Amino acid sequence: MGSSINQLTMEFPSKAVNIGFARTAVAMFAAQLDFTLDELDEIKIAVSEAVSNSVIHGYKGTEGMITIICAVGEGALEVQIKDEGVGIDDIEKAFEPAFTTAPKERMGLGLVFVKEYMDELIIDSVSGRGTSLIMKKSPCHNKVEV
Amino acid sequence: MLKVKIAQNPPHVILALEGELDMATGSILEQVMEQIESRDLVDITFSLDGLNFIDSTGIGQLIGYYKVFAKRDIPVSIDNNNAEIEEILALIGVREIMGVG
Ligand SMILES: Nc1ncnc2c1ncn2[C@@H]1O[C@H](COP(=O)(O)OP(=O)(O)OP(=O)(O)O)[C@@H](O)[C@H]1O
Ligand SMILES: [Mg+2]
Repeated sequence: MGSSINQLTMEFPSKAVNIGFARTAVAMFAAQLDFTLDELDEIKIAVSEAVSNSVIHGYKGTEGMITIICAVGEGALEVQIKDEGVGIDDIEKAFEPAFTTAPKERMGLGLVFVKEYMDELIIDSVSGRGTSLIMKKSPCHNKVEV
Repeated sequence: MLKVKIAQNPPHVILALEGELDMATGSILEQVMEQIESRDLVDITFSLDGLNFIDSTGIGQLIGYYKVFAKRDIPVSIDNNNAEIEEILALIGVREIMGVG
């Protein structure tokens, strides 16, 4: 890897208006790998879900900082999205389709999208301290069918 | 950014959505819904052909309207010929819930 790594760090307050900017910036950064347009759209959705979750659940409408660190190296994109909000009590439950802690108009599908659209998803969360999502994806033609 | 055009007035409402429907833009659609909700309505259709982005918050908002208006016996449906958007709706099974407009 070494010199082949490229990296981008963004930090912004948990305002809804920043969500569109964040997903577009990550997709533009990702475009240096030869992702298809469909794959870039999938990355946008995954980022949108993660940032929305930090705004809605992590900070519950109060203001806090969200950090996004993107890196490309060895033909893969890695995106880390983190907040210092309330954290997730039960990570396994959070992954279940239709599980949500915010009943009104929330379907509990955001993390299902992230799992579907990214190759890998790691959630690290400490109750009361915050949440970090690390997701990885490589362009489909780089993937070896097993 | 989201633009909501009233493509057809009540009672058979068609709302054409253009741009992005997410947490940031949902309030724009909500304002339009507030304008029409007190009118005499027979059905509501969301046309998504002009949409280039939707996430779970956007889908949740549309399904929310479906549920609210179902209580008034007003069907809410989606009309869409946009392949990328359709793929996302399919993943969630939105079609099974809301039907085709
Ligand atoms: N950053 C976060 N901080 C705290 N809790 C979170 C965070 N991200 C997810 N969660 C928890 O995980 C649950 C599931 O998240 P997911 O995105 O799948 O669904 P949702 O946000 O509730 O609904 P939707 O995404 O469909 O609008 C949330 O309801 C919340 O309890
Ligand atoms: Mg969510």
